[in-house]
Amino acid sequence: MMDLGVSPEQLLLSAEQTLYMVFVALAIGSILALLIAVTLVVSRQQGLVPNRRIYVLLNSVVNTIRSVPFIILLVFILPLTKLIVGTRIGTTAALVPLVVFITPYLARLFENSFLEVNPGIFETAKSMGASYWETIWYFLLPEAKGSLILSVTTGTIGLLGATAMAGAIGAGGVGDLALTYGYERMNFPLMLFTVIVLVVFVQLIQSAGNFFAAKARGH
Amino acid sequence: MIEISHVSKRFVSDVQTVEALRDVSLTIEKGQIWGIIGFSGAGKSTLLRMVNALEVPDQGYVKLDGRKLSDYTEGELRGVRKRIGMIFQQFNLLESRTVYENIAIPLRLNHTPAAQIAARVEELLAFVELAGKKDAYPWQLSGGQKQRVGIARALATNPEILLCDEATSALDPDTTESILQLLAQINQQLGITIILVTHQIQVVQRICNRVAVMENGQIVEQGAVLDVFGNPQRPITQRFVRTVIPDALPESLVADLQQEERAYKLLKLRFQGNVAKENILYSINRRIPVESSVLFAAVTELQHVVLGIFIVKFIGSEKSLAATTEYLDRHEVVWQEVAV
Repeated sequence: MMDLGVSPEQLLLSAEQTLYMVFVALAIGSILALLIAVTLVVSRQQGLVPNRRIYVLLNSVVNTIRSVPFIILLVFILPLTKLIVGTRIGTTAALVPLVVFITPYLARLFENSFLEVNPGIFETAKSMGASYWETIWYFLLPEAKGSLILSVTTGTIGLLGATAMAGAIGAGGVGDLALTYGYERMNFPLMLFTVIVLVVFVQLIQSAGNFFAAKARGH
Repeated sequence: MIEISHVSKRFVSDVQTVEALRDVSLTIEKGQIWGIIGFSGAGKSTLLRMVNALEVPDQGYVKLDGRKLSDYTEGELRGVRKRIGMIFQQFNLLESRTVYENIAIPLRLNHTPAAQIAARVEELLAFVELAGKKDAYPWQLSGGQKQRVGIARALATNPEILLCDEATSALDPDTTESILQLLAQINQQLGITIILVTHQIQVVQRICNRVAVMENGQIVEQGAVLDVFGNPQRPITQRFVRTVIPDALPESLVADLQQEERAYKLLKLRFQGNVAKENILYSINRRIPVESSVLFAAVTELQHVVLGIFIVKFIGSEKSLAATTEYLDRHEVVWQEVAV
């Protein structure tokens, strides 16, 4: 095997750190994003319970956070990170900015997924005597499921990219490995290796996403 | 009984104000099949949505079994809606759910136990003749099959009223016919009151026993289909009826008539029911010295009653012509003179 200049343990640790960051941030971010997206869709002018104030407020928060590049967000919210996890550095500390980054991103994607749902089914739900919660639970969520899964897939890939920058606060991970050991030490084989690993990750995530989305749509 | 009384509804947007309904009143008795017909934008769908309170009147009221819908709380209204099924032009099925799951939704909303849901869905699938399609997804079905699923779903909770919003407008003529047969069956076997909104006169002709014709947010004519279609009063009703029961003379015949030099009377005769089966013209010719020639004839069946429209040219003396109209009156044939 080609000498990569780092120990296998180090490689494994990096992969582990990346997966940890991606999946924990994704889990928390998805739940928050789902709540925000449902609120956005329900409160919009043509929504089930139009509420201009809530819509405008949430919409601007989402836009504001989304307009800050991740690397800046990462350092900008360091005080918040310290407040929540007690430290500014390390893999767990990176979760805070990752969640803050991915939540509005996913919220926007989820919102689009919800808007793709045939508006006729809301009237159908109402005609069946469904309450607002029932409309969301029995009609909106199932109908958007396939599209939501694809949104999560896109979000996961975006998150994977963001973790590379989390190295700036000592979070480790595959991206950080490529930068510190590959780029700064001019270790081309290691760079190549990490790039291949990332490409494989992305392919796997996308394929899994497509598979589950098709399944959710009954195809 | 559904009582719609002096209902008005106006939609205001930044761009325009639409008077969707203007002082509309309609009383629907249990077991009737009403057709609400009109061109798009006439307000028919808004009127339909008043019945299950998807739309709320600005003025007037809608009463269901003697109680105003505006007196119900939101929770009670949900209960009312569960007793009213609704089907749609675009079917509005959940695309991500199987046929079974789609039909089961209203039952799940009622917290029906799973075993009962399974039994009820099987029963409904058999009723709409889709027994083999239980596990299919909507995208695997034809338009007619989708509407059958929509109907099964609407019937799941044993409603008393079925609202059909242009339910056959997206279907081809054969499929429309089979869906109409199914609706007629629902009305006869289950005693469900049906209100259907349509722009297709054939739909009304085929299964409705009552009709309301709408134009610009108003009901311009309403009553038994046979009465309204047999003798349409308003221009819009005449336009609709003419597409299925033509009653106008072709141009070439009109030109011929203008050449006629003898004294004649041009009468439009309307036969209804048994009268249509008797040979009135033969009797007239035997008794009265007039020459009669049929220029135009159309015979249709409405609600199992034969309706015939004839335009007949009677030639003879003034006295004979008077005797002819008198004879028609005596035999209860509705007639009117046609001007050329």
